[in-house]
Amino acid sequence: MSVLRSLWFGLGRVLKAPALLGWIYLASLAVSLPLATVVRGKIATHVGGSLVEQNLRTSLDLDWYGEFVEEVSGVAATFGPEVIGHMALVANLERLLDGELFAAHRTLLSAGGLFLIFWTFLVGGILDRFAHPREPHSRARLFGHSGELFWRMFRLLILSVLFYLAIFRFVANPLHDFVEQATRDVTTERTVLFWTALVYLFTGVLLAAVSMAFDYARIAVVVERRRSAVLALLRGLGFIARHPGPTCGLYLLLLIVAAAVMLFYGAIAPSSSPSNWAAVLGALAIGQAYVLARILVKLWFLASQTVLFQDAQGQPDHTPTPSAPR
Amino acid sequence: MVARCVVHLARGILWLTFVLPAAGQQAVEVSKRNANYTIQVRLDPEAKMLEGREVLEWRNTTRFSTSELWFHLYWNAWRNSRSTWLREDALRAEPRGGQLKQRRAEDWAYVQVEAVRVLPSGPFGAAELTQQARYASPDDANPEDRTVLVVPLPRPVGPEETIRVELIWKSKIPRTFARTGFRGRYFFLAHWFPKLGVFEPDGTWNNHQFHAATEFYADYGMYDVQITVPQGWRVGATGVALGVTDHPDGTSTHRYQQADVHDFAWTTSPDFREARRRFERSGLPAVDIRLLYQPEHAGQLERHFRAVEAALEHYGLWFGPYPYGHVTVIDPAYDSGSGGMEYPTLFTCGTRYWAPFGGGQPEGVTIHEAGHQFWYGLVGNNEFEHAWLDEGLNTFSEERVAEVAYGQWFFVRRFFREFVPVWLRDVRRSRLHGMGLDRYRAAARREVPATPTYRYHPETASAITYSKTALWLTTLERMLGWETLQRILATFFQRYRFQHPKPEDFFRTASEVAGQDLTWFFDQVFYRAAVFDYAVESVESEPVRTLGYVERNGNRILAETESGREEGPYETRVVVRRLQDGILPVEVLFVFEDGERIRETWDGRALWKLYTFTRPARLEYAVVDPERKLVLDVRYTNNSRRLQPRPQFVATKWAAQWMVWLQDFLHTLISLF
Repeated sequence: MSVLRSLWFGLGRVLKAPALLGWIYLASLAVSLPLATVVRGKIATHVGGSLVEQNLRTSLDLDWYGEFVEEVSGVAATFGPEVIGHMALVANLERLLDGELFAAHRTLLSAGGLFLIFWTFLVGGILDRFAHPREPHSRARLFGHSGELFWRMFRLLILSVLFYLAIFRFVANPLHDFVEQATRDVTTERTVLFWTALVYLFTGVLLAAVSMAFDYARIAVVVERRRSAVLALLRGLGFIARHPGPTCGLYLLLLIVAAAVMLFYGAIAPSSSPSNWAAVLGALAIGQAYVLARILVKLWFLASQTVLFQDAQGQPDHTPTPSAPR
Repeated sequence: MVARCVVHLARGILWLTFVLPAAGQQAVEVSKRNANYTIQVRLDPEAKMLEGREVLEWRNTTRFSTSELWFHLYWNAWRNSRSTWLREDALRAEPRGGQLKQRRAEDWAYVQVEAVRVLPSGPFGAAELTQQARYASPDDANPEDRTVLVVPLPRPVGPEETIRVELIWKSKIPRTFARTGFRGRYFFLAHWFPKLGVFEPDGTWNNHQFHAATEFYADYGMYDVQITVPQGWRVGATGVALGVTDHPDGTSTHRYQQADVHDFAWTTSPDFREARRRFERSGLPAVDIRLLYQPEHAGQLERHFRAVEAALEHYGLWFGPYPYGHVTVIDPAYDSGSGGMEYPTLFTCGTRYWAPFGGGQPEGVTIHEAGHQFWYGLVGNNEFEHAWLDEGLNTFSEERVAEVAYGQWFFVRRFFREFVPVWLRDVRRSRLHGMGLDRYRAAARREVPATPTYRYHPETASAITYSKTALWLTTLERMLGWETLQRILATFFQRYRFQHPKPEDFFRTASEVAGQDLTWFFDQVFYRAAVFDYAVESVESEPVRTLGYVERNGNRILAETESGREEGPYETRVVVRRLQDGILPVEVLFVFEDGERIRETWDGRALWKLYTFTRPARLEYAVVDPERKLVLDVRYTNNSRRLQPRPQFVATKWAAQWMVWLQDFLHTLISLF
């Protein structure tokens, strides 16, 4: 059981299943494109025939933005400087680590919920694909297994949401409050920054641990045909406990890959300067390439962890296909 | 007569003793100096207590007598939650005092005057007044408020008479509610001593309670203050340090003096580091800048000095020189709540450990607070009632200096509990944005600026005081030209230095210097909450055609329909509209496809106006106020309109950015699952 082997074969399984990447990408596009169309319409209506359009070609005119954000409602109100380039990534990362993903704008939350349901639906089929790379696969099999495993995955989703909420409610936020109280007489920002960074790091580790445990729980559901979400979670935890080095090492390596993808995009992300159609389309293409890279990394996570899980059972690639739910 | 001679003699001695030797101060123009303080104060850093004794020498400069003295006891604003300050602060969406339930016992404050007595001097004999002193609440009759102390006198103080009063007090230092207090071993002490109000020329005391939206008003005078703190602690204070005396009990007494100021603030901490710089520019007096900074900000010294120098240079050249010869700049401790505040010859700025250059911090706040040495320090308006006179003028001046000295700041947002700055270099903050155009837009109708500031709703006070004033000054700048506005401000500065000007003084000066009656302007922006919004409502440009009967060769004939004809000439019709009650003459620019430009002036009074032109080319666009002189216009997007709107490109561009952000949001979300 090797971390690098899992990584290597995991990547191989992902690359052999490009359709998965396509389905997820299409789903994210299906959720985001209609909303982007709404935002586009709101911006177009607000700008209308105004000459402010000239300023908006080359940069975000903050004076215009102040008017816009005061006058629009709904999802368009989420438009602002923080959606631009690298700032968008940082803004979402902050939401993740502050637990604000669950407290986003109502429309965003609905979009996120929809996408999450789709992901939960598909993840069973995806894991089945990764767990049985030598078996013939088809769209029917993907959606068939996704459907069969949906409710099990859904129960795991609910359970994981409860865990995440608990982390923010009972650990992360109280720890931030504690740091604030404990440093109330500290006069150097560096000291408070250090402790705050530690809390963020700890929060990140907790989130990663829960995420990893539920990843293996989902894999157990697929590979071992488990029905109970709780037992699957215990199986996932047990697996991590028995193989802490490989599981954590693999997760860490994949996390580094994900961070590298984000840093790379952050470095080349188009800012507000595109001022002609070619530049805008180029910027959009770069953005979509980044989205595809993120999906690829997410699939790589699941595939590598599946390889690791199967290796540990001594039955790589030979886990029987789960039977139909009874 | 003898008494008056004694008073003048005493003032002469005071001048010779304290002012001239005060470390080479410049020859400062002399203010009335009718409120002079000699104070000894001792800090107990463990108990967070101050013990003080002050001798106030006050001369009645009015033609009325008074049988009372009114004092501010500012720190009683944080004595308990029923004070006027905290009641008003609670109206804010995010109170500056924070969540009061989370406050610990050590956080609260008070000032207790333990003795008040008249010292024998001139016509006054010694008298004990402690028992007669009472609290008053002249603004809201709040019986729980103890921020005003009234001391009845045994004998009225007549015109030009001087009285000497001794006060002994103890204060509990707050954990900062607003601008003053402690954090660890950092202490910033403002509003810290019983301070006399202003006896106005009409014979009444102007001594408001401490309110959430206002702060200062006092007469100019001489301050001689001895501050005792633990040995080894650095002290920064108003004025010039005259020396340090060490004591066997491990404390040191630092002596500071300053004449012709209306307040005194100080700070102390063992952690301060010190840097100095001498500001020298031709045509301006030299100024010694002393910077007390936090060790973790050592890399930002040059940025602080450059900002102070930019302010001293431009304010000095535009309005008048800074006369004191020295200024102390305080870089406050992290999260001490004392940053961004002005006191005579001393101010606090504020920066962060990570502060990208070009993002405006610490430069913006440093220029602003340095600028207050002029608007507030030298021109001493009544901030309780007319805070706009210093904050508004200063916000305008600050933004102008920043633009001249640095250009436009770029957009910065701080993430992760505001520790990590992320910036967009190609998104720039305009001067109007810096002045708070967005804040003003949201609060435009909520307050009439002429309302006394202490009656403003705390939530909207700054939008009116700072932003609206700065915006209408910018409007004046663009209407009259910078040279004229600069002369208005310089004249106002020169006339009212060391005085207490009122709004009417500014308006009168403005009209006089501008050479035109600007009453109509101030009526709208100050005495009413008029809102300005001009718009191009519609544009049409079509080939000229006539339908119906026309005279041709002496006969009335039915004109032929000319539909479908596309060649010129074209008849252009543009409707411009005034959408709100604010009225200002505006220019309207019409640009045609062949490059022809027509500029018209509209008095802006009617609710709408139709412009019709017959020209060889179609209209391309029309703009109301093309140079954006009327920056108070709350919606500039509707000021222009193209014949052929083309918002698709920018809408697509920004929606695409938004979509990638949303996709990243979605994938960040599922990264957990």
